[in-house]
Amino acid sequence: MRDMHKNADVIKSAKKKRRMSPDALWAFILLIPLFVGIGLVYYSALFGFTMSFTSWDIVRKAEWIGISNYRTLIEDDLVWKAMSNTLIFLVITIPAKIILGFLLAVLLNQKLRGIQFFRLTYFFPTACSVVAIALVWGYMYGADGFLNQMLQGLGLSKVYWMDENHAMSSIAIMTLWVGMGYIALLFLAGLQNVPTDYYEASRVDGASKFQQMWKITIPLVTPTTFFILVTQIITAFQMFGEVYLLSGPANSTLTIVQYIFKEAFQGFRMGYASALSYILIVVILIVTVIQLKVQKRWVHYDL
Amino acid sequence: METINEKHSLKLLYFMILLGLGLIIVLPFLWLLLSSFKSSYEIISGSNFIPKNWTWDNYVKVVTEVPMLSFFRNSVFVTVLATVGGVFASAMSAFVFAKLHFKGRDTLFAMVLIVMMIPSVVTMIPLFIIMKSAGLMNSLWALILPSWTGSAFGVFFLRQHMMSVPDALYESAKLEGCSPFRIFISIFLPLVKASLATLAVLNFIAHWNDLLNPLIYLNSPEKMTITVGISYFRGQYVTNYPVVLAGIFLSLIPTAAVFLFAQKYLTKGMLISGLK
Repeated sequence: MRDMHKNADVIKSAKKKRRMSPDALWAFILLIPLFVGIGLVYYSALFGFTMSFTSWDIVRKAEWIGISNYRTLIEDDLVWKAMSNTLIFLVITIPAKIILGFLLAVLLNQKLRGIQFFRLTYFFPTACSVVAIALVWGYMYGADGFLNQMLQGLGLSKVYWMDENHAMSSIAIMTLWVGMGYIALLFLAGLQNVPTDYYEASRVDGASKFQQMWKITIPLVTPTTFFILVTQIITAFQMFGEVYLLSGPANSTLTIVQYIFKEAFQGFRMGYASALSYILIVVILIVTVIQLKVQKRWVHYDL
Repeated sequence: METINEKHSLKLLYFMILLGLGLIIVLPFLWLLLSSFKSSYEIISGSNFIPKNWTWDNYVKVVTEVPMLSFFRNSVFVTVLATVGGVFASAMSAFVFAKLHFKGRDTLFAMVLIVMMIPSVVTMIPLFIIMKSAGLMNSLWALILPSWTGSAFGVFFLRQHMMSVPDALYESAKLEGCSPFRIFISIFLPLVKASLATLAVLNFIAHWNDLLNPLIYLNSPEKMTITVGISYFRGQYVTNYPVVLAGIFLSLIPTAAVFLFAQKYLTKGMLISGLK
């Protein structure tokens, strides 16, 4: 009897073994596009890194110059200007986006008539191209543009929206206008995930709406806030389209990716541009890792 | 406890705020549409919102003087091919990670996600060098091919849905002798249509609106997509910018159409991606 069972087991495991490898083979074949994509990323990382130690204009042969690009980088005023522009932009827009987005989400969470229509409307700008948005706002921001015409109609004075001191803030306002709806929808999803038991229990205990918001809603929505924070910062560091189309005077709106673009595709200084790219990636990586470490202190996954 | 009246006035307040904000969102689009019917004289001198002398001139010019139709054709070509290829590639990879069994599958999945979440700045210049060596400069294919490798988000998103399909379907099809590829095409793809649609909409929007890549790879006007095209030609219409506005409005029509068509898919997709 035992022998029969042993034989059955041997046959079963033999069958299993025969079923394992075909799956692995097929997996390998079907994953080829993905492997190409990954190979591309690895190759780019390596190639870019190597390139950053050269001086190369594509036409002539690349010339090895060691860490010279990085030295130039540190002394390059434009690099610091671009960094500071990006940081100013980050500091203005991201807290504003989060706060306004959250408040808007609370509003959108109400049971009101036509609420779906409102949700769609606020989200629409995000679906539009940066060309459409930036050019329309650019014209509105003109010295004799729509916004100034409105201001003057109200008896107020013109604002020089796109001058050296205001350009970045004007772009920030535009970005806020675009992103508010998207952020609100993300928060909306987070809000709708908060278990209603908490609200009911707290109401029984006599909590006010404000207390509910402060002690229940906001803490429980922190995972969404975290997601938004991380992704928005990564996106903000790579801002390009808006500032390419709406350049403020005197490099007041220069961003890092814009500078990389200029150096690589207009100046054909591939080596320098690669070095810049690497610095940017390192900065993004550091910021993201810091956020990941700090999240334990303020993100509540449960009350 | 609030009285019924208090509750009603609170709701009214909320509604008014939403309406006010909604107006702020809609206003630039309204200005865009109305101004595209103004003459260049009117836009500079007049301070009226609604055109005094409606003119179709700008739309005529944007189609005749500017190769707007050619831009449209190129954008459609790139967007459709990139989206279809990208969604298919992501779906295929998602299927592998959802249903196929092999050693190290989950570790590989984690690694793939991590690698593909690296900011695209990394590949910007090296990809350019590759495309140049492949002779794809000024070619629309330089914009299409990279997306045929699938995306981390796409793979992750579709895998979720595929995992909820019962394993029995896969197992029984295998026992009947179907290859995994056939199972993928004939059984799984139809079953996850809703997620495919959501991903397709998100991809469509991303490719239709792409500025950076066309800017890098396309240098002749007849190859340009709408985004670079408009950006390239606006220099010729600095004072007569209602022509540019007309072009912009035209470019937003497909966006609005896809947006409206997909609205139920988009909000679902947003919910899922917003969830941790």
